[in-house]
Amino acid sequence: MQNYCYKKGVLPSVSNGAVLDRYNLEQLNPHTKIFEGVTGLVFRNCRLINCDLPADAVKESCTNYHVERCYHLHPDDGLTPEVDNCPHVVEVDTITIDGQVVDTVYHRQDKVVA
Amino acid sequence: MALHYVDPAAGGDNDGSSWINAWTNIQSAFDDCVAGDICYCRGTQTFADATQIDIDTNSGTNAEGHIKFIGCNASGNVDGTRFVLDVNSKDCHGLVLANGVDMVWLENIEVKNCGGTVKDGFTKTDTGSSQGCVFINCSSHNNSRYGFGGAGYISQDFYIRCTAYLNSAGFSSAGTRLIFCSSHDNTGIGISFSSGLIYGCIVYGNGDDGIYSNLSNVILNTVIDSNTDNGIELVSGTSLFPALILGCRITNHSGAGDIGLNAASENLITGWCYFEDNDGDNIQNATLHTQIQVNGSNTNMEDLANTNEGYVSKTDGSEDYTTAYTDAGDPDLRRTAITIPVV
Repeated sequence: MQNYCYKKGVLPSVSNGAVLDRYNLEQLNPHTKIFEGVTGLVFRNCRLINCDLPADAVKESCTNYHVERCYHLHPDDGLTPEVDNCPHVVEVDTITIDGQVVDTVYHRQDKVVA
Repeated sequence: MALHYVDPAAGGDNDGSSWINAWTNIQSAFDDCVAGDICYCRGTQTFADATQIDIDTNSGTNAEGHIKFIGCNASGNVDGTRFVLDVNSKDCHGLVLANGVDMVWLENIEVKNCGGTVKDGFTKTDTGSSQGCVFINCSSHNNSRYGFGGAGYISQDFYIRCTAYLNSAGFSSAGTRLIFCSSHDNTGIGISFSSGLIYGCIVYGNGDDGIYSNLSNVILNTVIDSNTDNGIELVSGTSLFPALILGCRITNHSGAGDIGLNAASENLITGWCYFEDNDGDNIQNATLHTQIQVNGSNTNMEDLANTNEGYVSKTDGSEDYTTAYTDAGDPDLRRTAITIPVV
């Protein structure tokens, strides 16, 4: 088991035909290509969120889908800054006093994307 | 007290009365079992749609005891084999404890593959307590958010020999006791908790802080190694209730500026801890830090070139906690010899 997720830094070097068991390879942005040019890889029980794998890679019991993260929810992760009313806002609460909006609270959520 | 059975592959009447007639969905067991009952569970239940399993009907009682749900092997024997809930990447939580449901006992249960972005393996419906619940040898991994915890903390409960890995984060809890647990290789924080106890645990290889400690925690005899941010980070609120950290091994926090123990100017008492190879500093922001001394000597030890990480291996799944210390001066003393599951 190894953790090479985006918060840990660089990916490991792997050889053609390697079997990766229980690796965390989660990437920051959707559809990040990993291990380009390496053939015959087998991923077993791996965390592969936001990973695009080589075409011939085999996945066995892996978590592999894509998430578009919100800058406001992950301010320290190196995402591009977004406006307050960003596309990740799922609900807006306004606080009104004497007919004047004095505060706006944005509720945000990361999005699963295709 | 009655015995019940869950086996997703069972035929028969599926009324939970025997292995032959076992329930095929553990939801039936959570709905029907009452205080004092024991339900044995075997096999794997794979989610067909995004319907979480709710524990929201009955509680254990002091008079009758816990309601116990215990995983078994294929023969129905309790040997540590886990009953598996495979959420199958559906956008839902795995097991959800309702607020106010008390004294539920989950032993040898595994939850994996919760999909979406904010779904947890074991969680609660909202804040508040579900008191006296016990989790033994439970495993939670490959979930989109927490292994254990989430928007509603699992609180006032006991985790014993549980493990969380390859989640967005490991454990999130309040008022909880984590004993001989492991949290590792999660993308974010290993353990985030408040007003609780961590004893004899291993927290390593996480992509953020190892332990994010809020409000008066006690951390004893625990290995915190190779997490990307701080080994332990204290956060606001401990000034009236000091954090107590004794006998821990805090090592190899080697990212730029990473700190072994970031005291964050909180009230903190430490003793008999060992620090090694923490790049930023071993202990920082320690303005309210009291180190326990014996006969005028500091009981904490730093940078003695002891390279033992406190567990056997990070790479082959055989990690354990059993390496014997060699002599009274060896920092290996700073842990208890006990085997902890990591998968």
